[in-house]
Parts: sequence; structure tokens; C-alpha cells
Amino acid sequence: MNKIKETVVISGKGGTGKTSFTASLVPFMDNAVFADCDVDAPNLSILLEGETVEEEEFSGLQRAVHNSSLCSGCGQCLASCRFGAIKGDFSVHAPSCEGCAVCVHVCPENAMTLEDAVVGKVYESETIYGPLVHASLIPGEETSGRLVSRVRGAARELAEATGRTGILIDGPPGIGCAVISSVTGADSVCIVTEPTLSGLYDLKRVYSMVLRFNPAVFIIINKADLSEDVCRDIEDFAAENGVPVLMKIPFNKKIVQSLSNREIPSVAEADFFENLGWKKALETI
Amino acid sequence: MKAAILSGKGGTGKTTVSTHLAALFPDALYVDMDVEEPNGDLFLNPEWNDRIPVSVIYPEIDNDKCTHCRNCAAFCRFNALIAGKALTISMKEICHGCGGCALVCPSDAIRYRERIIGYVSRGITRFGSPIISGKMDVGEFSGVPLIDRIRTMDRTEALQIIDSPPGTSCTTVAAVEGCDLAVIVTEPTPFALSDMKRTVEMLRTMKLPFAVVINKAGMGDRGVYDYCRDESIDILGEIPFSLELAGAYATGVMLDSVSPQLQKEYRKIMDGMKRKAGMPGVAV
Amino acid sequence: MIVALCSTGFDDQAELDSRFGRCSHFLFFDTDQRTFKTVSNSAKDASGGAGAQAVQILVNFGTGVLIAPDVGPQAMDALQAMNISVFRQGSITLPDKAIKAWENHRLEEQQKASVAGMHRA
Repeated sequence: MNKIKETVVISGKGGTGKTSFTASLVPFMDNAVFADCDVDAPNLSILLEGETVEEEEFSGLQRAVHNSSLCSGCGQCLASCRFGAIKGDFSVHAPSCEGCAVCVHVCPENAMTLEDAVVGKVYESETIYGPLVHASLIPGEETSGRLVSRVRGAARELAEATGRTGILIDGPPGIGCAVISSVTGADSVCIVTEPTLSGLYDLKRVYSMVLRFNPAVFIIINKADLSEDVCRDIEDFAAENGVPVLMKIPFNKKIVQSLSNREIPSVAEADFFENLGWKKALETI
Repeated sequence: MKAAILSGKGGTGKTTVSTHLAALFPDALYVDMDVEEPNGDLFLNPEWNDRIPVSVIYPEIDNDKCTHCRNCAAFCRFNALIAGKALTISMKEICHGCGGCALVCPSDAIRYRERIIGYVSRGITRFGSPIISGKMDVGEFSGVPLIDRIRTMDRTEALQIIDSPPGTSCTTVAAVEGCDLAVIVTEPTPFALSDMKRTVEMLRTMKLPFAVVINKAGMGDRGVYDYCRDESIDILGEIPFSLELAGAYATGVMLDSVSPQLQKEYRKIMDGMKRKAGMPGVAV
Repeated sequence: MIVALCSTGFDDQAELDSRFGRCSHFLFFDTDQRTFKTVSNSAKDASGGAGAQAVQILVNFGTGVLIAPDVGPQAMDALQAMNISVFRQGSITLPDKAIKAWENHRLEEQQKASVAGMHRA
């Protein structure tokens, strides 16, 4: 089995251009599987426009279900639940239920059972650049971390089955469970940031999270000309931590336009990218 | 009125809109529930008065009392306990704090201890308005306990602006629950439109009234406008895109450099929010 | 003494896996009998806490030594608490080579976590 190299693109702060950057990498990756792990806001498929070839429901957890015909109304479930998931009539407020089974245990009438809960869907699409695994979380559902693990798992299985050597992952924003799930065990992590106070602040937070996983880390400064001062702060931060700044991409209205036309920026504005040292950046990753 | 400011897609300007509203209406309480990446204080520069730790529980096993029956490990759905022949241990970061292991332990060997996962701070912004901000510690998995803590805090202000987490996951729902109204901050791009549709779906499921503010107006395309028209969603206001504004935002400068015209737009947004919530509007 | 290894397949000829908690199979080597036993890793598909569940499997099989890729901090804490020593497999790809290297004290013992594990999804 050959080693499959996993590259994840994350950002900390949302809206820095993570997906645009990921999409820009796609046409230049040979023999790779693509995975959209931003299950809360899955947008990679908008630019890659593939055809869905497979679809599966995802149930990442079990949840309690109340059977009122067996219930004697003793209230032990309500008293024992630490998540506030049992309502006054002893029915289950699904979004709060973590599936711990405490109510099932304490119920003397067997009126509580655990059942699989469908929280999203996982799709496999065929694009002209290669297979894309993506997912959608039912809005308002939790366990996005588990769905992320599933998407990554499916991408890996696909890569193993088809002998592909790389996986490129569009990660979620933030620093919580979904990001941790997308970064765990990855070979390299690209952090796309922007020179704003929020961008810098979130970069520091997400970087210290990523550090725990020991991957190769690269920083991409998008909209680099927004603030010279903050841009310098980011470069200083990168230098202090020995993290290479892979690229500095100035703000360009044409990029926004290419996205509006659903075109991949690095293809639509190839010259612009070329002048920024795109080839070298690709080689480094 | 408790108004949740949301964005499906990150970076559309949710915090920009929230902080400007907070600054323009200093009687409003600004609540930062984006606990993974709380950025409101970068713009509002508050002086903090209070910093409250937020904890979750985890089990500790008394191995002198433990008979190594393995009931706890068998019960735990989260694999947070490991039971050996002569030793049983807990993995505190994995524990969800359900309390089940102590319930099934026949020898009273399990006690719960607390560990801190973040802080909720209270203070006064440089505009003299009250602020509450939650911040999750790096490396933690879920900000929901922090959001729950903020929700149970004593908040008497008539007007509350809730800067909510992006996306549509459990933390977003937790932040939005109990609000009177939601405002989706979006931008005229295909990504933002796609993500906004998911937010709309979530809000409709939650039966919460909502409206839209379009940020970075003037760039991108008309998709968001067409969608709002087709779905009869009110657009409360538009913040035009300008590199100058983006640059000011970059360095944390806000109202001080905001034109009277833009201030008027924010007042119009607040007016629309209040009317949407069934309250008298404000002078624009 | 039982020595556990992380394997990609179901026999002792299969290559070692580069993951611990989510490896495909565990291989248990009995140093007295000089025999291998393979067990499918049920923690592999765990939605969360795979590392912890994997440690539980090792404990169930009476493991004293684990030869593995880098192990995350929480699984590492658990392994230490359960008195299982951890040795790095390094670039070795085959089980018998790894056993031989360990018996000849050529494997480095992992004392502290070098990778964080994914625990709670």
C-alpha cells in the first residue's frame, strides 16, 4: 500500500478565501481525491461542478426515543439527563440529546430506547479533475466532527481503492471539533489567513491547535494588501514560529468575479497567479 | 429584543454589523457567542470587569474501591473509560459528562471533578455599552457549554445583539435559541448564497423571524438579491463594498471612520430589525 | 508477554499501519509461544474516542508492549496508565522485522505524545 498524502486547507476565521484557494489547487493535483470537510458550508462542489455518483445517509450518533405507551411518568429520565434533553412530557428534545443512554438505564418501564439518528448525507461526485467526496449536515445538527471523519474516511477508502496518491481537503473554519477532526493525522496543513486583526487573532488560535498534530504547516496570506501593518504582523508571527509564508495574494476584483462566474480562480486568472509564484507554491506543497 | 446576527458563510461581515450596531446603540448589550473565534472585542475594546470560568465534569475512579467489574466502560457510549484487570481509568477530554458511569458503578468508586474549558467575560465597551463575550480554550471540542452559560446569565438589557457562530451546526442553534429575531449577514457571491440557503432552512425549522443584510454590496453577482425576492425575504440594508472600509476593518478601526451615510444605513437596519420584532422603529 | 502491532491486514505478512487508533487490524505476538494472532480493530470506525477504544482492546488482550506509529497524547496517557510500553515502529514495514528490532532493543521508546489524537468528534 503506498502512502497517501493528505493536505488540509483551513483558516480559523471564515471568509479568508479557504475554499477559493483549495479550488485553485485542484486542477494542479495529479491523481488525487478531493474532500470538502466544510460540512456546514460545503462550497467546493459549486466550483468543481461534478456529477453525484453515490450518496449515503450518515447517522453519526444514536439518540433517545420516548415511547409514551410504556411510560409511567415517574420522571427519572428527566431527573437524570444532564443535557436538558428530556422535555416536561418526557419526550426527547433531539438536538440536545447526546445519546449517552442514561435515560435508557434509569427508566424502569423500558420506555426509552436509542435509535440511529440521520444527521447528514455523504456524496461522491465525479469531476473533470477527479473524484470529490462531500457532505451536507442537516442544518442545525451537531456532530459535524463525526461527519468530517466520515468524509475523510470515505476519501481515504476511495484513494486506496483507486490507487490515488493524494487527498486534498477543504477544511471547516473555527478551532472546534470539526477542524480537529479534519486536521488529525494529516501530512500538511495550509492556513489561509488575511491581514485583518480578526484574521491574525484567529490564525494564532488555529495555529496553536494545529501544532498539537505535528504536520507540515504553510501560511497563505490572502487579500494581502488590505493592511500593510497587519500583513507584516502575520509575517513576523510566521517567522517567529518558523512557518513558511507560501504566498501573498493581493486583493483582486477579478478573483471575486471569477468566483461569481463559478470559475476556479487559478484557471480563470492564470497570469495573476503565475506572477505570484504559483508554480513554486505548488511544488512546495 | 434579542437579535441573533448570523452568517451562513464565514467572513461575510457578521461581526462588523454586530459591533457597529452595538456602537451606534450603546444601550444595547453586545453578546459574543462566536466562542471559537470571538472577535467582537477587537473592535469594541472593552474593559473587562468579570471573568467567569466555565467547567465541564469528568469522572475520577477510586481504584481502591473499584472492583474492576467493567460496568462503567461497558456503559460509556463515548469510550471515555478504559477498564483493565487491576486498573480502571477515565479519559477526561473524551467524557461528555452524562453521569452514567457513576450510575452503573456497584461500588461507589466514581466521583466527578470539574475542568475548565473556557471563560465568559463581562465588561463595558469603549462606547460605554455592555458586552458579554465567551471564549473557548484552544484544543477544546465544543463551545456549547460556554453558550449555555451565557444564556443563563442575568441579562436585563431590552436590546441585545447576539454575534453568533457561523454555519448551521449545534453551536449556532444553541446561540440562536431564545432569540426574537435573526439577521443573516450575507454577501452577493455564489458561496454566500449557498450557505445562506442552509441558514434560512435552519431558521425556518426553528420558526424564527429573520431578515437579511447584504454586506460588500456592489461586488459579485445578483444571485442573493434574486433569491431574497423569490423567497420574500426582507433586505434590511446594504453595506457597500469598498477597499477603504475593508482596510479600516483590517486594523480594527470602526465607527470613528464611518461616514454619516453608512451610519444612516446601520440605523435603517436597526429600524427594520425592531419593526420585524414587532417593536416601534428608530429614527433613521 | 504480549506485544501488539498495528497492521493493515489480517495476517502477519501484512504491512504495518501508519495509524494507531484507526488502524485496520491489531496483531498480537506472544513472546513465549512465538505466535501471532490477528484481531480486526473495532475502534477503527468509532465515531469518536477511537484511540481510547483501541487501548481498551489492547488491555483486553493483556498487552504489555505496543509497537506503533506515533501515538496521540490521550491514548499515550491511557497506555502509560495501563502500564503498556510504547515503541516507535519508525520506517519498519513488516511485523517480524519490527519484533526482531524490538527484541534487539533497536526501537525507540515513546515517552510522550508527539501527535494529538482525535478524541471527541
